[in-house]
Amino acid sequence: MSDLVSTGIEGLDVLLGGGLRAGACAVVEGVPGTGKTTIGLQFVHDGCINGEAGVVVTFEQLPEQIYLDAQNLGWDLRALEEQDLLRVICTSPEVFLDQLSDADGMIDGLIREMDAKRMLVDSVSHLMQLASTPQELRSVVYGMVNGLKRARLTCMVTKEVDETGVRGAAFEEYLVDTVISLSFEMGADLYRRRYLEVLKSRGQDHVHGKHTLKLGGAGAQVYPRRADRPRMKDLPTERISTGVVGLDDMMTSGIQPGHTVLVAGSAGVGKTTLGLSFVNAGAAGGERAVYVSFEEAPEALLQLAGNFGLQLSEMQQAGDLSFIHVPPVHLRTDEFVAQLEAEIEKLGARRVVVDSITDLAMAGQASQRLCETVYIINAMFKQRGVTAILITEVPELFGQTYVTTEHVSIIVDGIILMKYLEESEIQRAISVLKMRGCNHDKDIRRFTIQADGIRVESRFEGAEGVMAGSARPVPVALSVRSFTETDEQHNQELMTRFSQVYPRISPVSISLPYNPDEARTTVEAALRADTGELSVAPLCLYWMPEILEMNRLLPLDDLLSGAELEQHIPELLAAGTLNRICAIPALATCGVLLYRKDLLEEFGFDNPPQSWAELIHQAHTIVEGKPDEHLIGYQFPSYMYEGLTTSFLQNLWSNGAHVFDGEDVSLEDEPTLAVLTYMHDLIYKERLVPSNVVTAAGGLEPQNEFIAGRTVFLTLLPSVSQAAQSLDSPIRGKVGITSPPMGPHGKASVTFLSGWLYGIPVGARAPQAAREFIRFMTSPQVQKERALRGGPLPTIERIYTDPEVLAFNPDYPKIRQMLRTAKWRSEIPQYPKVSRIIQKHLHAMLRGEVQPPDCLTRLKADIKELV
Amino acid sequence: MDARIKDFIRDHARNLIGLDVALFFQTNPQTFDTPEGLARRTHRDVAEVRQALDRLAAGNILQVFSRGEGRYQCYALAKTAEAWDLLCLLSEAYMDDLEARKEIVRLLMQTRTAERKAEEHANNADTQRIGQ
Repeated sequence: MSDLVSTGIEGLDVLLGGGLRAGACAVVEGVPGTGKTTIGLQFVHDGCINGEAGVVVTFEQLPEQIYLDAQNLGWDLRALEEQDLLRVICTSPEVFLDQLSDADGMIDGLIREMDAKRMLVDSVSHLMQLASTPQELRSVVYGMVNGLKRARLTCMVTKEVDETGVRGAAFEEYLVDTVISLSFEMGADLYRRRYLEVLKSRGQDHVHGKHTLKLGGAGAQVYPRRADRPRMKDLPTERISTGVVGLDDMMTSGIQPGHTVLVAGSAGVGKTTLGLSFVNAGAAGGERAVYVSFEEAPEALLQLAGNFGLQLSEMQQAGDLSFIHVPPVHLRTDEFVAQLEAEIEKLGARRVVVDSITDLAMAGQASQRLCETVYIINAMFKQRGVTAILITEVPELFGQTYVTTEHVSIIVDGIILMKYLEESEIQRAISVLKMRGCNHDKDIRRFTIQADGIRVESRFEGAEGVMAGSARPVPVALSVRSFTETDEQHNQELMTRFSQVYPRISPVSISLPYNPDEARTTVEAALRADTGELSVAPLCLYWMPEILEMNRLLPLDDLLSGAELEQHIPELLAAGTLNRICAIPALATCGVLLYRKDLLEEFGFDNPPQSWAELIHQAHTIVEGKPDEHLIGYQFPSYMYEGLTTSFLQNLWSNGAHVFDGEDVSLEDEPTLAVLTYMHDLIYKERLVPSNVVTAAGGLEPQNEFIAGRTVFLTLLPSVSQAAQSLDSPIRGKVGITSPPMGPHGKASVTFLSGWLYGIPVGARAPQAAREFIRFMTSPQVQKERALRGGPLPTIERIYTDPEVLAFNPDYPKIRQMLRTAKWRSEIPQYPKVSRIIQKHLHAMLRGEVQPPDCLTRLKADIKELV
Repeated sequence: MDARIKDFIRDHARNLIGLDVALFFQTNPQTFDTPEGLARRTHRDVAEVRQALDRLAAGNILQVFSRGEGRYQCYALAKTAEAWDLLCLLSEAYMDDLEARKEIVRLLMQTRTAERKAEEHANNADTQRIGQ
């Protein structure tokens, strides 16, 4: 004989650590109707069908009723009697006791004859009629228990307790080995629920507490309350898709396998649709799913899923999806947990949706146990490697809310909140409040429910108080590139106008250093920091290869239509594209020669210089011919910054030379040396360029000197010409623009292409606002307006031929031609490093520290070493 | 109706209480109880139940056990095939065959009437003896 005897009730065996000890006498007590006799019969019946004969002694209930009751449970007791495995003895308590004590008695004889191993005595309460005092009763019961033990039977003895449920420590409990108490409890839903509790289990450990008892077609079932600790099964690291467009990205590509995520939201906001999408997403990977629904019937859910094109019907037909549909009023928490686990086991499910735990909380007194229940199923999911979504409803449609009031949020691995919010119309918002093990998106995003399901869209930027249900506009940091004071004023006006169109967004301009190298440092830092402070990043054309390699810009493929994109200068658009469009051209520029038309005309020069020699000649003529001792013949960006490189490259290309020939360093000796000599001699031999321009700090700003009317020629950007058009400029209307002059080896003037693009950093706080802002600032209307206000050059080609623009600035066709032939310096391999080498050696030369031949040698050596 | 049933009704059951007790043992064959216990279960007078039990025991339908050093008697179904077959025959006729049931009742009534006449006759004889 095994040390433990199964009770025939799996859950009760679990509570007893395997069953009753062999030879033990157990009292099963409870008020009428709790299931005492059923449990006792199940115990004896289980023995019979496993070959252990048993005896049922009934003092009150007639055997024929017991046969009938058993028949309803599928147990044929008469057949067992015919097989001599069972006897249902109908007798009086006094006869039973007497016969039990009599060596030749009927009971003793029967036990020996049948070799019975189990007995049910129903019920011990009838022994009370045999005793007039408690002492006598104790003696009677003591005798009975000893008689049963002597017979080596494992027994269950039923005992009635009164309806009040009040029970003292009855003496029977001291005498028997095990006490099992059955009770009813009325739920908040006015349904009685049965519970079973093991009060005592001598010589063996047992699980404490009340556990759900259910009497049904198969007899009694006990659902032990579990207390498993969450232990994560070894699972693949690849994250699980939610099936919701955009939501996975908020959680670093989905949910970690084995995690349980709480989806909280207002009624009708889309929680169930999210749950269905989650199930559907598993289909592609062959992941089976169990969907628990307490409200909606499976048919309704399949129809809902079908409306969104989700393949749940197909999954169900293929056996990859099963539903557990338990109306909340019939819900028993422990039973539900057992049922769910069995279904997961049967299906081999990897995904589970529980819709919703709000219903679990409504299940009778389960609201007090909701936290425990979620803890248990969370532990069960982890042990089984199941990824789960638990849906919960928040009562408030708008305004602040509690995700759960039962502290469930502590247990789950993640929380997704879905809410309505009130703007001019009702919007839906989603946010990831918690997601263990990932740096989840902290944004509040707008989402919509479309024909193909939920789609998470842009952030609710430019607004505060979104989750409180009502958005308020907040400042959004944008940075726009301004080139002149006029341009800056214009940009401010444009931002004000933008705010009027988009009242939620209040753009704040962040000023960046004018020096593009310094600006680049600031912007790159902002991109790396992921602070979200900068929502629109201005990006200079020559930074783009490295900026794009950083992969820190949001894609903008869908910002503009194909027709809109085609309007932009192709080279500028291409500069912001690496597989995807990440920056939109906002303004163009290129190197030009600016000259004083009035002075050239005064000294009889009909055309601006086409060559270096002509430039030197004209400059000398004018400077020497004018009485102004402060007049400067020529200036170019000559202190150590990117402008120096562009000056050099412009001269180099216009002298027929190149830095690279393919991947090899070119810098042809003769033409390159001619360039260096030209630039050097302008300062030290021709003395047309003042030597102090080579130091930025405290030195002359070529642009300012020119606008002040103190320079004849300047190589810089067209924006200087536009700045000179300001009303207070002394050279207003006196500035001409032409291509930079060619060197002796050059066949054409070649300038450099430049410009600025706008991109959105990955961590931008307000990407949607940023998109709108970029669309606005790069639009043909704004670009034309800027052109008409003397602002930067447009990136949209048709503006160069716009009659209004031409009337304002007749140089536009010329500039457009220059842009078309301009070279893109970033085509030079490792351009940023090459540029720094050029700046270093040229600046040394312009400072007079190195002569042109040495400068060339050093340039070539360093660039060769670099590549 | 089977002659064995008629004989049983006439010779052993004799009245409705006898029939009830016999049918009780057929439906609850593992009963082992005192007349008092069986009277409670059938909700009949103890004395009448005891008489019925004794008649059934005399007809080898039941077994009687003297227990508690002769303090009380217990009755149980006799462990013979004849007894069990007869009770099953009786139950089948009474429970499932309306005509047989009517006949059983009629037989019981005739038996009862005969008994009463016999009792009256005996009583009259006694009165006459007393009068003499």
